Amino acid sequence: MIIFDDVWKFPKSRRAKVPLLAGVNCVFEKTGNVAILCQRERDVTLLVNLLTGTEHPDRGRVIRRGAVSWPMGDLVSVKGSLTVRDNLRFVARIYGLDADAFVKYISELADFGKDLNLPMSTLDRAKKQIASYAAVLAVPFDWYVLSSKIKVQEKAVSDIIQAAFRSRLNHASAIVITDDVETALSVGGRGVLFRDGRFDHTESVEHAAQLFLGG
Amino acid sequence: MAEGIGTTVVAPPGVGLGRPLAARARIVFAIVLRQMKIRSGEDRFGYLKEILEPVVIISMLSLMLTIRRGAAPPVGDSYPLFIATGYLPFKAYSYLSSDVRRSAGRDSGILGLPAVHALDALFATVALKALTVLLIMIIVMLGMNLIGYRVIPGDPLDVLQAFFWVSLFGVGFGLVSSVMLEIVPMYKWVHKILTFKLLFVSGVFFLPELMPPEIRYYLAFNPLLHAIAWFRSAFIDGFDSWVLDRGYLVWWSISLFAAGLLVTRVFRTRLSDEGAAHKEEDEFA
Repeated sequence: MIIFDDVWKFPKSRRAKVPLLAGVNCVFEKTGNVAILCQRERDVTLLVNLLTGTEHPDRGRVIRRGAVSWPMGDLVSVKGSLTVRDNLRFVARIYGLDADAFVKYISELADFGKDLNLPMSTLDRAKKQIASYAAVLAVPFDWYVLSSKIKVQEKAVSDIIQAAFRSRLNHASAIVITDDVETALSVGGRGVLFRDGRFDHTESVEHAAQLFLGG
Repeated sequence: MAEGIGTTVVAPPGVGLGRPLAARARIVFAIVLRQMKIRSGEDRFGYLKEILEPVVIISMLSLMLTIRRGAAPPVGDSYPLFIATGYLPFKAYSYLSSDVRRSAGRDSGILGLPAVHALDALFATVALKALTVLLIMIIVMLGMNLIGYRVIPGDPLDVLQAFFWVSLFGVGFGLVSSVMLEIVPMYKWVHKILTFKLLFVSGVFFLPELMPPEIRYYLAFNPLLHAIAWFRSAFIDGFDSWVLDRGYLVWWSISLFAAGLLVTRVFRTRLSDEGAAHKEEDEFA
């Protein structure tokens, strides 16, 4: 369970008085996907950071009972000068997974065989992102955070990643936080509209999308 | 392939709430390994340089003092021993404080992983740097013994104690500085004095006992002076500094460390904003 307990967040400049988050209360259960639609990109970043815990609320609490993923596809904690293998091993160690099995799984999934010993910075962005998707899916999280649609050029790799994501969602949930309707609809589930620093709960993500597009 | 996830990678204990202490230790260890790898990848001779720096400083200062004042130092057998027992604890302080200051709240992107907390990064930095500085000390001292200077601690346990407290002082100072530099612009100026210039009033080159009483009175407010006096008293047989007040250093270290933890916690929202900006730079590097 993730609980937003009266969460407030204020803008950094003191003159602006309108809060970014005005006492948000929300519960995310371990089962059931949720899509949160935001008007602005910066709201997406803020909500993602609060949810994953990389940013702290100014008032209130975010309680996490379970493991939350980093935003899928984001290249968090990647050090360009380290090899692909070392970067992946670090993630495995952090989450207490068998590092060799972890690296092997990802290299097979995304066909990384030759690139494993290259510095991360020599990979192109697409390849890095594949590594990130594969890494996030190799960790058994309780929640997978998605802020933009899974985009992989190669059809074969894309299919594998989508399949892996679906099979993960059998035992975990997706939390989609986005300003893009298509991304929100790609997973489905409960819909939440983030407006004026508050959550408006709707019955489904389709309903939320209608309201979002309507105004 | 997708079905393979559950079988190739087994769900770990401690990702969520289970076994928090073991999980924390594991995370700290992972960060230490990573920092060592980054360090050795960036600079092949990094550790060699870190060992050479105190060697060069100790030999230059010893040479200068020997020429000026003759062969016998105020205490101990030789100037190299006298300078080493003053410079090495000072080095522990400056090394730890600067690295803690730099890593507090803005480490190289590792805080982007939700499982990694700011405190994990802090503990990793402290563990790695304290061990490094201890290793540097041991290597320098072994080296000095090899070339004929008698540098053997009289009371090794007491030396380690002095090392512990001066390190804690450095960590506390680094934590407080990381916040102060962020919120008090004027502090930059104070900080410069507190880091480098302290070297000259902490008793690295002189013995506070030999100073005029009115100067000694003011010098004794400096906790580092006590750290160095402690280190020397423990190291040099037959020397027992009467200026030294162990409790004074211990209280400074504990208070500064507690204050450091407190301010980094209170101002963490401001610091982590900076950290987030830094993280993005790192991603695309």
